[in-house]
Amino acid sequence: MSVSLEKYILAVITINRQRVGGGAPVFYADEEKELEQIAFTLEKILDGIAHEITPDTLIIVKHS
Amino acid sequence: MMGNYTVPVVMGVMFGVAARLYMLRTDYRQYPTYPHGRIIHIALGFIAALIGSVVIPSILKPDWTAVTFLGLAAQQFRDVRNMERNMLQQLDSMELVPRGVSYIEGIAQVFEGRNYLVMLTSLIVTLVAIRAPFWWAIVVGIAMFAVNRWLMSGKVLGQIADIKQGHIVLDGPNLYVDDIYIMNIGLQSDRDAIREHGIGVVVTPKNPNSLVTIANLGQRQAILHDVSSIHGVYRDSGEPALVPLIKRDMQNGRLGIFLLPEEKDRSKVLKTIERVPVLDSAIRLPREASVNQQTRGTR
Repeated sequence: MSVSLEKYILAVITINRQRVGGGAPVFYADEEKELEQIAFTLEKILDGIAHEITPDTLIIVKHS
Repeated sequence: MMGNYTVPVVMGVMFGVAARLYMLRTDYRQYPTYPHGRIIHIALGFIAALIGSVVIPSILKPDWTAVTFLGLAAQQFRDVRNMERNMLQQLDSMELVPRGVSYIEGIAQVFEGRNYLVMLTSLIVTLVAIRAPFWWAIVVGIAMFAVNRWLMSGKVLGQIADIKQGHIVLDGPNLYVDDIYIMNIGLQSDRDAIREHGIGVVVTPKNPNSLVTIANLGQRQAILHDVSSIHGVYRDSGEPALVPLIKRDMQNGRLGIFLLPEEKDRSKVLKTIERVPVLDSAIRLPREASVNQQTRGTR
């Protein structure tokens, strides 16, 4: 924690299909509640922190 | 010949071991671990006391071979630091809030230093016991306790910085302590937990020297570890978002401390932060540099 060697995006969760793409796994949600739910599950499983990029896109980032 | 020195050496060893016991306090840090960790240090303290108290007799005899060997034996205590560092580093990965390398190095240094103080105590007590009446050695031995205490006492954070309560502010996903940005929290459930359990503290440095000292990442980690070990931490593995953090206001060097104590007593937490030791490795004195001395003079 005191030394951040690398941070990487483990997953992207979004409602807006047009705005994301690229290397990390992308999870699509239909509405905000589902977005929260997926992010919650992924945060606990992946042990990465959920960060809000825009209100309709969250990312799970591993800080180690 | 050696019979003359029996009483002084025994006194030196006794005072040395007593000094080690006095400096071996298992406090809130729970280090050294009780009881086995203590046994190691008492045994090492005994050896240190023995080395310290036979130095003067072997010089007076004079037995230079013995003196040389004592010098070699004293060198072995450098390993104490390695031993402590290795052990604490191994354990650190199992802590919810780690100590951090700087804090570990500080603790390891202290353990090494204490053994040398034991040697010094024994050496001086033996010297006095040989050269002066018996009871003088006792007086000097007790005086050495005060000297040891003075030599081992470092500064605490409250002496170099002002510590005040701050407010936890959640602006959308962004977490602030007063106006200092801490981190981005994506999940509503995490934000709720932070609203409920979070405590904010703002540390303002008292002078330009302490500004640099408290900016040190190791010093910041030490603050987080001390608060977490004394007041508990609302955290678990698999809950990465609930993490106590310290961020710095780069404009003026203030620290915004975000904490998640189990026991949410603000005044106690502030007291704990005031008493966090200032780490040797974090201390910087830029004001003492000749460059800064000159500018002060010309102004």
